[in-house]
Amino acid sequence: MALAMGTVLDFTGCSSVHSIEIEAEGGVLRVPIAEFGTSNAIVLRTKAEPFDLLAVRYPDGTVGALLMECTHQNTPLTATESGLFCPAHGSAFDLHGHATRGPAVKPLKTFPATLQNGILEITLS
Amino acid sequence: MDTRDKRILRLSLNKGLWVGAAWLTLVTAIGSVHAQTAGDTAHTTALENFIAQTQIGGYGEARYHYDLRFDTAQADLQRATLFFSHTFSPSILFYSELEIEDGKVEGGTGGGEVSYEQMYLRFRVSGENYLMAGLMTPRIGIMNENHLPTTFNGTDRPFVETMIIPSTWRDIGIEMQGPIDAVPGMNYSAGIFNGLSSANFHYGEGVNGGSFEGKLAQASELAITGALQYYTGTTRLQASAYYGGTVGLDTRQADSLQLDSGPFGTPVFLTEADVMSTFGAFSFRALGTFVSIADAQSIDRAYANNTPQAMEGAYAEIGYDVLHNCPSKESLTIFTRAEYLDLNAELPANGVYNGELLQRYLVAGLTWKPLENVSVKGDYVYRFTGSLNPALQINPIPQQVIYYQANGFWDIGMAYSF
Repeated sequence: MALAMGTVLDFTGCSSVHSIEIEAEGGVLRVPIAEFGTSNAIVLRTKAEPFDLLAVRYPDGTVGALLMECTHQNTPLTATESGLFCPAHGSAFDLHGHATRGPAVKPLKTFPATLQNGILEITLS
Repeated sequence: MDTRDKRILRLSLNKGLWVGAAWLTLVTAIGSVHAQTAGDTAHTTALENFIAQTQIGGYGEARYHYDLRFDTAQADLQRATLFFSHTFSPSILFYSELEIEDGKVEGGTGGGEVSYEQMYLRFRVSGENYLMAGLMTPRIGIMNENHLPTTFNGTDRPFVETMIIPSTWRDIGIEMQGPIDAVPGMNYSAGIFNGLSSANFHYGEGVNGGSFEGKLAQASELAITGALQYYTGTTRLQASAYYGGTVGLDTRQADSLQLDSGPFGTPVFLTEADVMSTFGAFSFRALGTFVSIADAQSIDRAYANNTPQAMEGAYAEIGYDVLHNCPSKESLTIFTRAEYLDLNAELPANGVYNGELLQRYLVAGLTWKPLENVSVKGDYVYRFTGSLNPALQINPIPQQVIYYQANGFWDIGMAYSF
């Protein structure tokens, strides 16, 4: 077990989807793009939503925001740079929110997101 | 007033009454319609809210199993389960799984079971940290938390996660789950549950019979569980452990049986590590587990159930989806799995060794999924065990069922989840 844990800790640099706490202003989350660092995604924790959001920078320069709630049984998801995963029943979603492995079949809830002057703006519903 | 006037007045009154009655009817009707519409709207809104807050799901599996040595077969509706969950508020959720096994439950006959596999409330404590309380399957191994039949290959759950780690192992307790923010991708789980009962351990079944599964559980003996789970890319790594007492008797009874009671008396320790991964069309999973029952000698002395001092098991599986590049959701996975388990890896001085409990399995088969949550499965299972201890053969030769160390089985099955 100690060996297994050591192996786990060795991987921490590979999947740097870190999280930040952020408050909404007028129903909008504003995230400086610099917060992403070298990652393509960042977890946003806000009191305005019951689950974390995943903000994503896509390779084509566009951005998106997903609610990290599994559409199968409302379980919080875990994000990596490759997608989102449900620890309860194994569902997987890509970074656009599409279900890539069941049992979930419905896509994740998305929020309008725009990038202006280095600030990612996400409009909450 | 003459007769004509009286008649005109009567007609006017009659007309007035008719008009009044008509108005009254109309107003009443309109009021009724209006009230009915408002009632319906309120009812519809309440129904819509209930539907939005309540989810129904389920899973099931059936199997045809053919024994190649004895040329016998069995068909079984292994399980059908219904989920109900309800979101009371953004912070509080109810979840349950009600299951029927073997298609039917009938008094006085073997097989069949109706039981809750899970029933708990989940409270959001802070951030993404959740406290769950009730009947739960703790995060131990791969299959205990996620046992949907459409998420694993083969008609049987892996044997290691059935015989060493009990299948759908659940007890009553509380558990915290959440992310470890300092290590992105890592989740923790920690819980405290009622313990097991060593009086209910059965020979050759490990600790399987010891779980109360929510039914009148002795709870003076307790168990703690913990798991760490790490996601990187499309790979999940997990390690978990369980440590719990197995004697819920009062001190006088426990002393008379020479057993240690109390919260962690006569303990079972179980640990496992596992990995699951997908790389394009390939999928891979592996698990290793070890169980220690240090006071097995005392349990055997008290209950004569031949409890082992240690058990161990491991398996590895690889699959390949030949339809991975097809645009449809359909998949056809070819897989093979190798398993090793020993239910008497170590025995106390008063234990009896039986090679039958040292088992190896080789499983190969197909899983066809026309849709994500519908599976049709077929597999071949080759089982090879150590030799049966002749001292355990009670019946004389003519009545004795022949024991084959090597045997094979064909299975076909179907499974669904939603």
